[in-house]
Amino acid sequence: MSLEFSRNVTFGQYIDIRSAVHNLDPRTKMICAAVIMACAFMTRGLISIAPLFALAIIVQLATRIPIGYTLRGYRLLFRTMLFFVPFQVLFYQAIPGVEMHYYWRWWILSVSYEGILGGIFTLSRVIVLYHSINTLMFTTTMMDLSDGAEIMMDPLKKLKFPVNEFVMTMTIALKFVPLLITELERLMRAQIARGVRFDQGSVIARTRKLVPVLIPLFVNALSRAEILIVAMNARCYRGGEGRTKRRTMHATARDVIAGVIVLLFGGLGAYIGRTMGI
Amino acid sequence: MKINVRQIVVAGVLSAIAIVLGVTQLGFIPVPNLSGSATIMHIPVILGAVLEGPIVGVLVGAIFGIYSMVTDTTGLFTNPIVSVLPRLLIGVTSYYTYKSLSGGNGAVAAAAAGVVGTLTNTILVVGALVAFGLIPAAAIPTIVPQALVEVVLAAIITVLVAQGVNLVRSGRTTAADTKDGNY
Repeated sequence: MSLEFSRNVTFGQYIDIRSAVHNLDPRTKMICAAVIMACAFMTRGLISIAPLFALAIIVQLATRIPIGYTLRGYRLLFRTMLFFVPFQVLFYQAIPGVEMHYYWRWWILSVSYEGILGGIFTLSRVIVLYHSINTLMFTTTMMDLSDGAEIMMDPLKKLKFPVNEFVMTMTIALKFVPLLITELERLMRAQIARGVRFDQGSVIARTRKLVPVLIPLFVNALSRAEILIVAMNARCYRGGEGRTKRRTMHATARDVIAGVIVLLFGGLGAYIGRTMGI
Repeated sequence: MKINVRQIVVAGVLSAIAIVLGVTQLGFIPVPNLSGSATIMHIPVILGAVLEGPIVGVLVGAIFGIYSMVTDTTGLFTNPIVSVLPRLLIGVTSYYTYKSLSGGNGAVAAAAAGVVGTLTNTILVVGALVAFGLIPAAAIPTIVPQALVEVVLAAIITVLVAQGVNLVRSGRTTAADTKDGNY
């Protein structure tokens, strides 16, 4: 079992380089990511996902983030897909009216041309979805992300929803993820040094191995929380009421262009998926 | 609704643990059934409710729900009624279970909160999936072994972690014992 979480888990990291995507308004990026995700769920087959896949490649190039770094974050994802995709191919259900080309068939299991295409489609949709969220995190600082989220959730304030508090909670959660991953890694190394094998044994045995990792993880995380509580109280944090921002956000022509590009590609994919079902 | 600094920070940190369990795949314990794994990702939600009250439970549940919605790879959890709403209620049900039993044995109350919280999660998520026609009702029996494992895991882990945290907080063991590097 590899223990290089902090190397392989890229979720929620910000990559500090200059690029066209980094310079966009955070609100634009969030809306674009949401549009891409919505369009991806309207795709029905390989042809409709193609424009979105192309868009993902364009965005990837525009961010100037090394492709190797991006792919590293997919490693854990691919491990799950390695199980999920073959499963989907084997249990592929024939669509009425479509002729199936079987390579192999037994009982309800089959390997067909259509099934394999379906598997590839699922995989590429997962990549598109994952890529949009990842790119948003890679190219936006935590401050921008939370400020942007706060502005976009502004209408909820009318419903007495504590927007600032909720966004602050989310920001703290994302900030703590890399920290806790390092901590988890250290705790697991300590256990491995004592001869524990995390990847072996029955359900109960595995859980018993996890407990000496989980308890210190929670205890340490909560004691870090105590420190942060003191720090925030000392700085008189009191929620969003009457709070002003030092930096204000302005959308520019760049944001419009980015939005149009995303809408074009996403809309094309969603349109093909909706109308032709391919 | 007024949320104080303590609730914000503790909810943030517990949500981070839920996300970490998700991204490292450590929160998924292999079970031989259709979905292939039982999850312990909802346990930080239950612990938030048990240790700090329902508001923290609901906040952690909301972030856990949003996380499962945005990182969904199967297309089943894109609907917030499936992914977010049930997770909000985990905090509420487990808190009231814990509170109503906490007069007696703390361990029993925490275990009960773990069981009730897990059942809330499983029943409401599966219920919503079936209600929206995302999975057929016939698939429910295949989820039973996974649900049972999740209930048992939640009961055990909730008790142990809640007791561990309370022990450290009570000061009977000094904070220095748990500082970095002295596990």
